[in-house]
Amino acid sequence: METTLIRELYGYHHWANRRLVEVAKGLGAEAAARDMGKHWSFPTLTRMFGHIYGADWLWLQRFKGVSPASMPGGEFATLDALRTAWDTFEAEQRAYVEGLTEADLTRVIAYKNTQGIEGRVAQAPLLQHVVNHATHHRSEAAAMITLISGSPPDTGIATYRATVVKG
Amino acid sequence: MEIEMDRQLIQGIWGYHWWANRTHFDEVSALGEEAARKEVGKQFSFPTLKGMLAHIYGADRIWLERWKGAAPTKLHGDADFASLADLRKHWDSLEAEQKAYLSSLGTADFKKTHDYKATNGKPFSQPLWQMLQHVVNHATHHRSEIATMLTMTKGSPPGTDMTIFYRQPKP
Repeated sequence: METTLIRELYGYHHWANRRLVEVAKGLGAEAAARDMGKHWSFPTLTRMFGHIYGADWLWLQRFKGVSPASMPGGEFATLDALRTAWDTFEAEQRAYVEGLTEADLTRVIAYKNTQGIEGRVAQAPLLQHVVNHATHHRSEAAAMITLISGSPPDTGIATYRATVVKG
Repeated sequence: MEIEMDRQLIQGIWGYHWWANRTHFDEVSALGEEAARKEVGKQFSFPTLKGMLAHIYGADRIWLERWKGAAPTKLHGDADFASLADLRKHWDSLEAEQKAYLSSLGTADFKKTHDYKATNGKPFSQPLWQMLQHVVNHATHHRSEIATMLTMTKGSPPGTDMTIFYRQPKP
């Protein structure tokens, strides 16, 4: 049950990321690079998705025992460039999540954040954190897409279960 | 005895959910009733801070009603609350009801399938644990909008990442 809960949460996460990035790519290169304002966590769609990728990458390193001093995500000029790196990473992340045992979920992850501050938290809530973090930024991307072209399709868990998993 | 991991996983995100809702509600309250009713922009799911908070409340409420076996057709929202103070009163009582419900659940309850109808009458059937995750994820989407609206109104609010929640002193 526990590993199922986490695995299916990541199934949702990957679906929602892909769904929104596809919509953003469809808007064209100019729109994905457009500065949408300082009130967003990141000013462009490309940078916003780059940040979701970067945070996901950073946490996977920490789960594997490494605490990188900086987060990637700002190095992608286009969504196509990001997509290539993200595809590779997503496969690695999926393999990691598929391999989790129940004992892994309670294992305490000791890590240093990018400011060097130490944290010690069980792996399961951190795995949940990564998805929750992304939902926050997907919401921003959705509002930015709404400003550019109109509201994108829903990326809620209920929609995912009803239309993709069908159960 | 150690609490089962699945209860920890579900109750952990719900503890986070209540904390994050309250953090944002307090931020909005501090701005006052007038700022909470100001239209911030049509790019948001709901144009005002009060409307956005009322929607999180409404969705939380309709799902709890479904889990308890009712077939609600009304999704509460902005128009149902005269003020933020009025919404707070209803939300406090809903939160207490949610807490009692969550703490009554065991592992078998999480796996139990619930049949319900969406507000448009369409029937669905899902295990409880999926819906428990959905409600928190749904609220995170709208909390993100609230955070942006607060940033536009008065500057960036405090973070509501789960990692910040875990670092809070535990009662």
